[in-house]
Amino acid sequence: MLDLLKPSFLEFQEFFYLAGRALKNIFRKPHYWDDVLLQMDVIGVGSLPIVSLIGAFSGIVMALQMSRAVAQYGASSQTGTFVAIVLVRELGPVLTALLVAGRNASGIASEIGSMKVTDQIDAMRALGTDPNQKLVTPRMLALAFVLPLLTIIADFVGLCGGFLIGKYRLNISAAQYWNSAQQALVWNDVAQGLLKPFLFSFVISLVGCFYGIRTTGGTQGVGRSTTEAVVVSSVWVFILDVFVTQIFVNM
Amino acid sequence: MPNNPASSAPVVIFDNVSLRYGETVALDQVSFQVNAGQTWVFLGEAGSGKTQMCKVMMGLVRPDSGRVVIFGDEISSKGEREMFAVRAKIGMLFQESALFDSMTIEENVAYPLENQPVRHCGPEQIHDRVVEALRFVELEKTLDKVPSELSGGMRRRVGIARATVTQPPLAIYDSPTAGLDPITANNIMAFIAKQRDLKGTTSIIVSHRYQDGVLMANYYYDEAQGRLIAATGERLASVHTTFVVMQAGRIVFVGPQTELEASTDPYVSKFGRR
Ligand SMILES: Nc1ncnc2c1ncn2[C@@H]1O[C@H](COP(=O)(O)OP(=O)(O)OP(=O)(O)O)[C@@H](O)[C@H]1O
Ligand SMILES: [Mg+2]
Repeated sequence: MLDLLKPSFLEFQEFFYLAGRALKNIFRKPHYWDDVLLQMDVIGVGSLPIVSLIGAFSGIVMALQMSRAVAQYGASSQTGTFVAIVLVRELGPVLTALLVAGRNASGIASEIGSMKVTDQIDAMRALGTDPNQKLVTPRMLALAFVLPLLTIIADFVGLCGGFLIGKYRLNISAAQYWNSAQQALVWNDVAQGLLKPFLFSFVISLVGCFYGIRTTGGTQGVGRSTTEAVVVSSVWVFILDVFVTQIFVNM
Repeated sequence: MPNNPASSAPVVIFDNVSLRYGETVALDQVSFQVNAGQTWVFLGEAGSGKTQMCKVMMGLVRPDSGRVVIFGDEISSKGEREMFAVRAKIGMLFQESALFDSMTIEENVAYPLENQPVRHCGPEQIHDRVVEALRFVELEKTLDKVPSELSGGMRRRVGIARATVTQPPLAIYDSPTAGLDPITANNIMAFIAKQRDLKGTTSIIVSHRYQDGVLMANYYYDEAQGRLIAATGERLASVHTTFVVMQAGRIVFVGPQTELEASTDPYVSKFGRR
């Protein structure tokens, strides 16, 4: 049993070492701002269409589901309240994080993994750069900035999707929908709705980088790291979500 | 610039260096000393530890035991950040070139000039230095291409340009001719000899091909004629080349060409035949 735990304990240790170095590098020269901007573009702008699309659908589906549930209590007019709470607190952050994990944890792991197996990481070190500073820190910063923004967009598009259902299927007026949505959200919801994606962003970028950098075994190894990065970052998004939700529910 | 290799300062010292990956012995008690201006050719079968030896020399892989001294600096105990100053004095061509495939050729060759903490030249001179290094390997027309658009031989040449753009006093070439046709391979070796003979670079060459070593040991680059010429007399001393044969992480032979060709050891003599 102890032998089984040992490798995963070592992995944890390695992961936190990488994460610590990446955080420390924020305050150390040289800074690769070009790479930060490039990653923001790749991750942020690149994920925008899919994140909006999924946001809209989740708003629509939720409004439809809710409409039946709340109609039983004669509270159809409150659809906006439910959609807003569920979207902002939970679905927006988690769905966006899962999409970005699928799209970018894999992208990061495969990009860095192929660099590793073709010796480009060693070449970087040979030519005067710290791969952690050049590759990990920019991705971490870019994602920490971009994921909350993407989540806000997903939330907003989702609310709009809910609105379409409210207006054309449930005959709720625009004022009624948006008022109930606005009143439903207190600072606590907004805080956890933004804290979650901020925390998830570190899981996604660092897990992606971690599996990328420890890739061995050629092209096959790159495939393996990519899969692992997506699975592990998705699982940790959920685990972290439980913890954060727990904290906010108790507040 | 003919050097007198015998009397010059040590550039690389390996002292009982060992490296293990689990059960696999990559380097086993490796010891040798390379002096300024010398040429050393490392031969050995696949998996005999040549690449790992290069990486240890560059400080990319930390040996399990033993001492590595580069330009008088003991590197085995240095941290990653301290290593950058040492690595700036070494140019390395990686086995598969290891060009950055997200960057253009110009950006690849400019990389060490822009990123090494040691400043080699002002920012406004970088472009000229890059063009000069690419012209050296006759590739100055490929500045805006990306590595995937080049052939294997061209990528090696870009790799040589990137390794030598800073004019390092020590250059390590890991298998510069592997997988190339004989004509391309000879061209590549000519660039390596040219770098050695025009700039006085201490050269470490890893190869599968004995001809590569023979070329380094018997020819020099003549600037006036712009080509390799058979070395005679005093010239022969300046191109003097030491051959090393490795087997399973151990050095099994060190010596000049004549001794290698005279060897009766079945493994060693395999590498002393053209
Ligand atoms: N990352 C690694 N993990 C485990 N074993 C490794 C690793 N890198 C190298 N080795 C082992 O170390 C030994 C030496 O490898 P090295 O790459 O130095 O050989 P080489 O002489 O360069 O071979 P080739 O001529 O094929 O390039 C081999 O047995 C190899 O399997
Ligand atoms: Mg090798």
